[in-house]
Parts: sequence; structure tokens; C-alpha cells
Amino acid sequence: MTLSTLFTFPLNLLIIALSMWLACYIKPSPKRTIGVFALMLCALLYISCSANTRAVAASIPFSITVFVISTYLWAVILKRIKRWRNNLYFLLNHLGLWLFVCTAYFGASDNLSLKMLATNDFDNQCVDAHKNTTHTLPFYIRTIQVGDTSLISLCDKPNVLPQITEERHIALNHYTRYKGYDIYLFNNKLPQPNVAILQVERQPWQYLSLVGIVIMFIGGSCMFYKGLIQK
Amino acid sequence: MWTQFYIFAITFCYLLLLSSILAFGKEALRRWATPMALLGSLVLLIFIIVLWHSLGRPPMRTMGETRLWYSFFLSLAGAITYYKSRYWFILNFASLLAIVFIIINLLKPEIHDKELMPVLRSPWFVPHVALYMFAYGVLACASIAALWGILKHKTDVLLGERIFTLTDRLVLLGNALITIAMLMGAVWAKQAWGDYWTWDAKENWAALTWITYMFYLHLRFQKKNSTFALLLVIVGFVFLQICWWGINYLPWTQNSVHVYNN
Repeated sequence: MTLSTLFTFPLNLLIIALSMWLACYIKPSPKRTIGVFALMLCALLYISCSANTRAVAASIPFSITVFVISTYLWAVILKRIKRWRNNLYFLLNHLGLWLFVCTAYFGASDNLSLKMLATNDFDNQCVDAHKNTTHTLPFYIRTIQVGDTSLISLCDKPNVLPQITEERHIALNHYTRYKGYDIYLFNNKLPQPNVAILQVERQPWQYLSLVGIVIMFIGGSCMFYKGLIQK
Repeated sequence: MWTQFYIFAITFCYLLLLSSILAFGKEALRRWATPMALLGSLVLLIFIIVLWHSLGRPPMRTMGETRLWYSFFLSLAGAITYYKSRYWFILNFASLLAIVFIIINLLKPEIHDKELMPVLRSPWFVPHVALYMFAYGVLACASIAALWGILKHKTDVLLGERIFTLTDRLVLLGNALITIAMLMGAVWAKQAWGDYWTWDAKENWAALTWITYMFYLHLRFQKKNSTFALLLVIVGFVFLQICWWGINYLPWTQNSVHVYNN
């Protein structure tokens, strides 16, 4: 059993809710904070010393560790929220971190990472290499020109005329987004002409994770600035 | 350009050694320690800029190139920390460490070709690496201070307090830089590989380093002046070194996508 088979929507949402509920019964203290940090350190050290890091990250013990961390983090937020005016930056920083941890880790099981052999003909069949399954995209892709910067065409219904297509350039470090899917140029060095392997990603929680990062960053920067001013 | 490196390296080492000796002298001499160290940093910076120009790409790809940046930022951080704190051991050990890395570069010259692999052709490349290198320099100074604190804080309470304050500031700055660099790296990874975080070996060691310094900061927020807190700074520095160059030698991290030097 791994994370990808366990925590898909809506179970991940229920787990986050359970974590928030359990946090109401936890009283954060300096000693417990040290304990949680020690746990994080051990978990990260374990994953850093593993050969198959993805498997460890998706394992049940690691998931429990992240669950404990997110629960404790929410307990800290609940404790400080009563005097939010004095702890605004602290709260922003920790709330952002909590949002990021929850959505990035527990939301990861809803992610799709697909590979597609794109040719001159429109196609919407992809392969999920991790789950060993096929996936049908809600739109069709074909290549127009393949190179370091490739040109692809996207359309919703290729068999209906007139076709409404969109043309997009993709290259390494430059992906394109279409209907909630991120499309990457994975391999453009295939022996067949005008054929490329595309990587198609869908990360439904990524915007919440980004919001978490931004909130955490604002809170952290304000704490840092406030600390400088006080000194 | 690399063939002329020894001239810059010898000048750099000479100026740093001179600044270290001056830091031991009387007040009139001590005043010259910081300018000498800064001059040494400037010499290395000039070499880096010229190398950048001659290669036609940022010299941040190979281990040898990052060692140049590390020595530059370490000598800079050492000079500024010495200027602010007046602790000779910061300047001396930072200079020693910077010189060691320059000597490694002299003894182990690497091929500095003009080719930059496609994934590195990104606007995030320079700020990501430069911020990390600056953070590494600052955190090396923090580790020197922490080591000194471990030796002294029990026998000299006042000095111990001051060293804790200095270490706090250095770790706070270094970890803030690491945080920004890590976030930049995550955005870059999303653009290049489709995911912000892939549990790659380098990413894991970077997270481990970040958590270790965060652990230290949380201990200090609780006003804990313990040897354990200072030890964490040293441990963080060891993790940082593994993250930077150690993963090239660990057998289980050889398939990391971040190993560029081969």
C-alpha cells in the first residue's frame, strides 16, 4: 500500500479534516515542538539515506509522520490564533506552511503524471508510468514541428469540422498549460521524424500549495524584518 | 582563462592569510584585516567575472566552478562578520576554509567547457545557485561561531551569550537565503520536470539542512543556550556539505538528476 493508492480525493480531504480535529486535543509545548522537530529530522534523514526515495515518501510510516507534523502545526496555529493581533506574522508563516504541507503531500495522490507519444495525427491516449495504466485526455494533441523548441497543436474534437485548434510552443524549461493540464516536451530526439514524447501533468492542488508558499513567505519575511527592526 | 587561475588564486590566498595575521595584531593593524579580506574577495570576484565572460555562460556548472563561488562568498561573509563582531576566529577559519577550497581547485582542475546542458538554460539558474552559495558561506561562518561556542560557552558565560547571538543572526540570514533559493529551485523544477518536488537525493538533503537550521532557530526562540543547539549548527553544516558535493560520492544517490559534473 502506498500513498498514491490510499489518499486520493476525497480521502485526503477527510485525513486533513481528521488531523485538524485531532489538533484540538493537543497542547503544544516547547518540549513537544522539539519532539516534532526531532521526528522531522529522523524522517528526512531516513529518506535521504534511502535509494528509492519516492517509495519511502509514499510509504505508510512516512505518511504517518507527515500526518503528525501537520496535526501539531495546526495545534500550534490554534493556540496562537486566540491572540492573533500579536502573532499575525507567526500565524501567516505557520498557516502557509501547514497549507503547503497538507496540499502538497496529501494532495499529491490526485496528481497525474502521464507520457504521450505525439505524432502528426491527433491523439489523446497517455500512459501513467507509475501506475502502469492508460489515461484518456479530455483533448487531443499532435505535433507540427519537433525540435529543441517544438510546436504542437491542441484541439477538443479532431473529427468535427471546422476544427478549432490552438498552437503552442514547448521547450525544455518552457511548458504550456491547457485545460488544467501542463504539457512538457519530454523527448524530442526520437529517430522517427516529427515524433516526440510529451509529459502531461495534472496537479489539482498546486494552486493551494502555491498560496501556502506565498502566505508562508510573507509571514516569514515580516518576522525576519520585524526581528531586524527590534535589534 | 583557467590557465591564469593560479595568479588570482595565489593573490587571493596571500591577501586572506595577511588579513588573518592582521586580525591578531594591535588595534591599528586589526583595522586593516577587513579591507585585506575584502580585497581578496574582490580578486576572486574579478576572476569569476572574467571566467564568466570567457566561457559565455555562468561559471556555476561544475564542482570546481561552484567552489570558486563558495570561496568568494565565504571570504566575504567572514570579512563582514569579523567587521561586525571583531572575533578573530571567524575571519581566520573562514579564510582557511576558503583557501582550502581554492587549493582543491588548483590541485584538481576540471574541464570548463562552454557547453551548458539544456535544463540549466533557465533564468532561475544564476539566482538559485548564487543564493545557495551565499547561504553556504554565511552558514559556514555560523558553524565556526558554533564550534567556538561549544568550546567556550561553559567557561565564559558572557562570551557564550555573544556567540549565541552571533550564531542566531548568521543562521537566520543563512536559512532565509536557503528558503528563497529552495523556493526558486522548486519553481524551476516545475518548469523543467513538471513537479515542484520530486524527492530527489539533492532535494532531500537540502530539506534536511533546512529543517536542521529551523530546529536550531526554534530551540533558540525558546531561549535554550545548550550545547545541543550549537551542535545542530555543526550537524546542519555537515548536511549542507553532503547536499552540495557529498551526494556525488554516496552510492545510493548516483541516479540523482542534480548531478551535473559528470
